[in-house]
Amino acid sequence: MTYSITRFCRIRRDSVQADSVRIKTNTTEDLQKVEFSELYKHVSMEYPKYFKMDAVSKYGIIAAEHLLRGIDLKAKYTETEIGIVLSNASGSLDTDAEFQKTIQNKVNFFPSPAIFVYTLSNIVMGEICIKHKIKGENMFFLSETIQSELLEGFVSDLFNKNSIRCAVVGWVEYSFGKPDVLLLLVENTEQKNINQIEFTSNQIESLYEL
Amino acid sequence: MNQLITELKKEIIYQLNLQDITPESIKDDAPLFGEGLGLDSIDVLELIVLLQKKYGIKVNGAEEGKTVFFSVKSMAEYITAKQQQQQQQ
Amino acid sequence: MKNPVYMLSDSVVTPLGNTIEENMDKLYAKTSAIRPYSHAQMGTLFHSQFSETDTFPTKKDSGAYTKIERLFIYSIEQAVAKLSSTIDQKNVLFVFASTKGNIEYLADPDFDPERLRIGIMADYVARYFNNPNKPVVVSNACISGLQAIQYACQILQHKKYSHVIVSGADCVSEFVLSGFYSFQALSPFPCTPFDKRRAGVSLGEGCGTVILSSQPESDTNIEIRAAVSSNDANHLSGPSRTGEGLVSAIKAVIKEADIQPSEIDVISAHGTATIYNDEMEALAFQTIGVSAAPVYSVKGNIGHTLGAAGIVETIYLANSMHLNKIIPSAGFSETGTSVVLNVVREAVPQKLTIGLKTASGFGGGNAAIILKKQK
Repeated sequence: MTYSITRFCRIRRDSVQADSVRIKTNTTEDLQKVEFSELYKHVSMEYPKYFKMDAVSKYGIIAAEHLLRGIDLKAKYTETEIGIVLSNASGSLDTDAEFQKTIQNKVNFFPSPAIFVYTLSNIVMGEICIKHKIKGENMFFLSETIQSELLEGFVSDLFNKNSIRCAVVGWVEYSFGKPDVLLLLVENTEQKNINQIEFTSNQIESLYEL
Repeated sequence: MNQLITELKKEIIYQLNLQDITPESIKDDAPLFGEGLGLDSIDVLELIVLLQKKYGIKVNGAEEGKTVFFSVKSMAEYITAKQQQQQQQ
Repeated sequence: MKNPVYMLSDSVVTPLGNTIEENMDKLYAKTSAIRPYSHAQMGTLFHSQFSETDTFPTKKDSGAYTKIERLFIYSIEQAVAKLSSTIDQKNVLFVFASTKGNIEYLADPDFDPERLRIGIMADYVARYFNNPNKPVVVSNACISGLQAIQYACQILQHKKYSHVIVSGADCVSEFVLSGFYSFQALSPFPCTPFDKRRAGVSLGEGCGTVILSSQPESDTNIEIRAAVSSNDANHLSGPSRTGEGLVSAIKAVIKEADIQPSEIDVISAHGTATIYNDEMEALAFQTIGVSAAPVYSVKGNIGHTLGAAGIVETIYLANSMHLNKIIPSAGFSETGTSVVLNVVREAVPQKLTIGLKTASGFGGGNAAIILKKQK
């Protein structure tokens, strides 16, 4: 059984303009300034909590917003039928370093709870689940580079055993100020049309190369 | 007291990364949580750290936190009372 | 699961002991490894930690490895040694679970920062065993261990590997301690899950390894019937007040295992001893209709071992099923949840056939596993 990538969102630092990120979806392509407030304005969402998030969560939320904008998953699926399987290389290391600063100095030792909560690899996934009410299977893998076979294999297994009917799948990496994000919406669509991309490891890799 | 209240408003906005909120827009006695500024349990913990770091005051547990952090005014009253206690000792 | 998956061999290394036998003896005696440690800024903290003299004697020289890497190696070596058949590394996949890996070296300027990435740390460990396959690393907070088992069960359906070695570890570090301290989540005494006077969690360190295969070595190997996860989609650090997410995970695992809730003989709960976690679990067990089943948490013995917890606690559960003796919940004396649970006070000899293991964690994740004894 194969499934379809019905939507995608790719975010990466622009190779020419260092202060910009390139955001591609199946229908749009934008070049935007890296400032988090700019990225927020462009998705026109009302979500003040965004400003409290760490960098990787902000990028995850922005990408998920582009991915799911304008569609009503709730009309097609129950909350527990939607799964999420994400991965990255650095876990939360960028935020780990931020938290370390709050405990590094022994005379000024004030560990910050608001930073600590982001010092786990899977928190970006938790934020996306909260925002989009994704309550099904959820998994977070760590690997040096995107492992398309791992993602495709695990997610297809979840579909095959009827644990989920829809999934947000991808790679949400942020390190040294550089985002590298690919989110896919994977669905079991019986009627194939030309806009759909087959959910295979090769297709994941080609979308990652965009 | 008024000076402390203004200072606290600025600190809350800065520490909790509140967007599009100015110190003037926070009412002294409006609830910080739920209906008010919409702060959550992690924000309470962060405010506990703020009090300890900036004013050297320790709030014991989230339960005491609920009354202390009800509003900016209750925070200021708590700080003032604690500081007076410390001076007396 | 279409093709049954069996637990062929295991190993648990915790401050309670380096073998499963030592661990089980101490669990039955309600021994706790949680001790007070003093910290200049945070005061007295209670956690379960290896002593400086615990060296984890690995077969080959492991001097170039960090504490957590040696812990993984030592535990995996023990589990492999207990197999009755020999394994060919090219048919073996390693699946690791950890939340923080080498985090204690974060501030060490001499430490290779690449190794702070848990994926790279996993490569180091797999290389020690000359395993040629890319290890899989699961890092989903406190449910990492159960999900590493879940992943292993799913990959074994494809017959690509003969064995999957699932290993989970985390170490106590100032980093993690200070984070839980800032959350005001640490218990001021060894934690007491489900008890009335519970006042927070105690952290712990350790490693658990289980070797899984779709080919059992004997008819006493315990079967992993089902493994699932769910998400609360509610709050990053606080459990859902209603237990709705855990309920959905338990419902799904019961369905996948094709059993009735009434068939569950024993529940190994997450039981972190925070006010909200234990209350949430009690509500969830009631909703499912399993609140009368004997339930316990081992957090009072070994603390919360984070990424290792799901694996260590699944191994404990499986061994208690072999022994037909339910593990008592250390630190429990009086019901402290709104729903009365059947919390186990003393070790109970009882025939155990089906066991449920659950976990819930930061980021809203819940996971559940059903174990079944063949014979």
